[in-house]
Parts: sequence; C-alpha cells; structure tokens
Amino acid sequence: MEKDQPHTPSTPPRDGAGWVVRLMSGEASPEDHALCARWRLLNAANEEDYQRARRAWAASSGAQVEQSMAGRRSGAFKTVISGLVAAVAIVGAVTVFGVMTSTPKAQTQSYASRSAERVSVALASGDNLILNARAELTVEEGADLTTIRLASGEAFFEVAPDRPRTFVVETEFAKITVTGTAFEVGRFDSFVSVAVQQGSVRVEALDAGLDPILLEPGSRVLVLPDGRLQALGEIAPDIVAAWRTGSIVFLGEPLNVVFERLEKYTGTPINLSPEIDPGLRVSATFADSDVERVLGDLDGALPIALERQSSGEIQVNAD
Amino acid sequence: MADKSEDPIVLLIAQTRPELIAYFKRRGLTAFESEDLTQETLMRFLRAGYDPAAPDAGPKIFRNARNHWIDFLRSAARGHTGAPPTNSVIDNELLDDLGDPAPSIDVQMINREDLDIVLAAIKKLPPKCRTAFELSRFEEYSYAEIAKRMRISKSAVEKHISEALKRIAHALEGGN
Repeated sequence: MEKDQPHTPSTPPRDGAGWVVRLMSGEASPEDHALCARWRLLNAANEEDYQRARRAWAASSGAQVEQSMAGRRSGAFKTVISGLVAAVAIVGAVTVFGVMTSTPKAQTQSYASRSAERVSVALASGDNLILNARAELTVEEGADLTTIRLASGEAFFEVAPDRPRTFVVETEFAKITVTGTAFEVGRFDSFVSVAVQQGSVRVEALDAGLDPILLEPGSRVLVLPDGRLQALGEIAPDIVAAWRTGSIVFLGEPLNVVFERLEKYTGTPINLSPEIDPGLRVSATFADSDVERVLGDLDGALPIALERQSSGEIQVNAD
Repeated sequence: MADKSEDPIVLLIAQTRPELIAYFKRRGLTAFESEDLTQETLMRFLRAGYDPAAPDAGPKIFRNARNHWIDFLRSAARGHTGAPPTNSVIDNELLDDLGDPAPSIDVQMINREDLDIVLAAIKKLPPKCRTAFELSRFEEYSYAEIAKRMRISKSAVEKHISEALKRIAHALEGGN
C-alpha cells in the first residue's frame, strides 16, 4: 500500500481541486460542505481556485462521454460496447452529451440527449442516426432486422441503401419501415411526426386497422394516438430535420405541434389553453440558440400570450 | 468552533441539500449537474449574507434554486460557453425578474476546444494519477473502490484525483 501522509479523508483539503474532489465524492458530509463554503467565502483567491477546479471537473464530464463513445475504454471499464461504433457530434461550440448503456447479449444500445444537445451515432451496419434535444431511443440489432424504439423526441435516420436487413422505427402508436432512405421521426406526447428526405418509408398507424401509407421525399405526416394520419404540407427535402444544423423550422404546423417541439428545447412543460384557436398555423424559421427569443417572437406574432408559471412551466393563453 | 450539531450552516446544508439535489434531478439534470447546482445555490445564499438560521432561509434557498434552474435553461438554450462568475453576489430580486435578458449564468457547458485540451491533459497525467482519475470520472468507481483496486488509501486516491484536476485546470488555462 502506498505510504499515506497525515492527510486523511476527514482532513479539510487545502485547495479548490481538493474541495471539488471531496464534494463530488458522493460521500461528503454536511460538515464537509459547510467547511468548503467557509473556505470559499474566506477570500476571492479561494473562490477563484475553487471555480477553476470546478470548470476542470465539468470539462472532464465531456471527456467521459467522449472516451466512452470513442470505445477507448480499457478492460477495467464496466460498460461493454458491442457491435456499435458511436461518436459524438459537435454542434456549434457546445459539446454534445449522450447517455449510453448496453446489454451485449441483447445487442441493444440506449441513447439519450439532453436540452440543447444533439447526439450522432454511427452504427456498425453503416446506418447513422442523430438525436435532437431531449430524445431517447434504443437500437436493437438482430441478424436481419434493426429496430429503433423511439421513446421521446426527434431523430433523423440515414439508412444505407440496398442493405439485406430491414430497418424499422417503432413508437407507441406508429411503425415506420425502411428499405434505404434518410428520414426523420419525432415522438411527442400527442403525435408522431415522420418526414422523408430521400427514398421512401412505409408508415403504419398501429392498431388502426388501416393500410400503411408510403411517404416520398418532402412528404410529412403526423400519426395521432387514435391512428388517424394528418398530412402536413410538403417541404423541400433538404430542410427535413433542419435541427441538425441548428434551425427550428415550422411550415404550416399547428400550435400544439410547435410547442411540443419547443418543449424539447426548453426542457419545461408548455401548456396550451383549450381556448386557443386550433386553426392557428406557424411558418417560420428560428435559430435554436435562443429558444427564449423564439417564444417571445411567437408571443408577439400570434394572438397568444405566454406566461411563465411559478413552477417554471409556460402557460400559453389566447390573447 | 461551534459544535457541529449547532452550526447553523451545517444544519441548513443537512436540511436542504438532499431536497435541492432531488429538485434539480426532477427537472432532468444529471447527478453531476444536480450536485453542482446545489452547491452553487447554497453558496449563492451564503455569499449574499443571508442568515442561515433565519426562519425563511429554506424558502429563500429554493427561490435561488429556481433561479439557478432558469439560468441553466437559458444557458443550455444559448449554448453558453462562458465560465461561471467567480466573485459576484447575485441579486435574488433581480433574478426573480424573468424578463431580465442577461442573467448571470452559473452553469458551464464545454466547448470542443476545451474537450480536446482535457483529453490531451489526461493522456499526459502520471500513470497512478491517470488511473485514479479515469476510474473515478469515467467509470464512476467510488474512492473506496479505487483505493482497493489500486491498493492505496482513500486519501491517496483523493490526492491523485486532485492532482489530475489541477493539471487539467492548468491545461485549460493555456498551460502545458
């Protein structure tokens, strides 16, 4: 055992790095936190030293994701990455964080993104997927079938053409089957959206008893929980999933669709009053770097009034 | 020194910290973010000179927490990459004004350049230092588990990780 100095875990650290390491151990006591607070309040130099270490600790959180996703883990690492090569996409200057778990026996991987994040994943099969903000999905790769279960949020898929296996995206009430294409699927509380950039996909409303429909490039459709399909106007294929380049594009979308999509960026529930005109549609392009401004612009341009509740939720009323 | 059980700061932290962490986690923050925002929320309260023994200390702290949460959302939405303020006293009343277009954002997001610097700094760490740091940060081993694995004491683990953190911080500031 390495010779230990008089310093013990209960000895107060003497610098910011020591305090950050102590407090992030998960074992720090209220006394440790109080001692650290007093140390930080003692003078500006202590506070600056603490913040320097805090920044380094936060920065290494990004390194954690980078290392794990780059498959650089040694034999000592607990998580096994099998059959998949994952990579982190950087959008603008913001590091994208992802959460990844794996169950090698089932060949299943789970991915999630947080607010203002996009996560790009390259599958070993050659297919690619990108998660927009606050999206969650699992990828299950079988011998002749890749199944994506989209639990929440939007994702864009690039499926290698002429592949022998079938590629399916499933949500609670819609199933999208692909043979070689690029397309977007969004899973929200009250609808599933599908838009195609290249190739075609077959969209099936589960339990609706209706024949699947075929979507071509530029086509968009919403699948509602009761199995109804609601067509949206066509868009230029190159702006499908425009969120990949930091844009939020609405083209004739109903307000509930607009705000459910914006919830993914705010991370805060947005509640629409039933008194709002259901016929209101939004056509606009915004940068995703300032969602507060997007909300403000919608408030100013439409006959609606946005009100922030004490809970942090946003209430949208008719103006 | 006051008896630990009577220290108002210790009492306040013991009472509010678990609730603050749960508050942030309920809003979708990670364990690290929740811990970090909890610490900074408490510091913001103490730095402002409020009496930790006052009856309204708890409500004041949770108002701070809410403001911190709003700052976090704004920071995330803007892709803010700046460093947290190091010596500013935050005016709670000012932060209550949600219309304030430029609140202090006490949340860090990391840019690509910083990430490359961190990865390079980790590669340059002394072997034991690097092992302890990677087991802690990348594998989420507890300090006790790392100590057992590396056959060193827990305090030595803390020192190795602290040293790694100092070197990473130095690299982030432009040092080699």
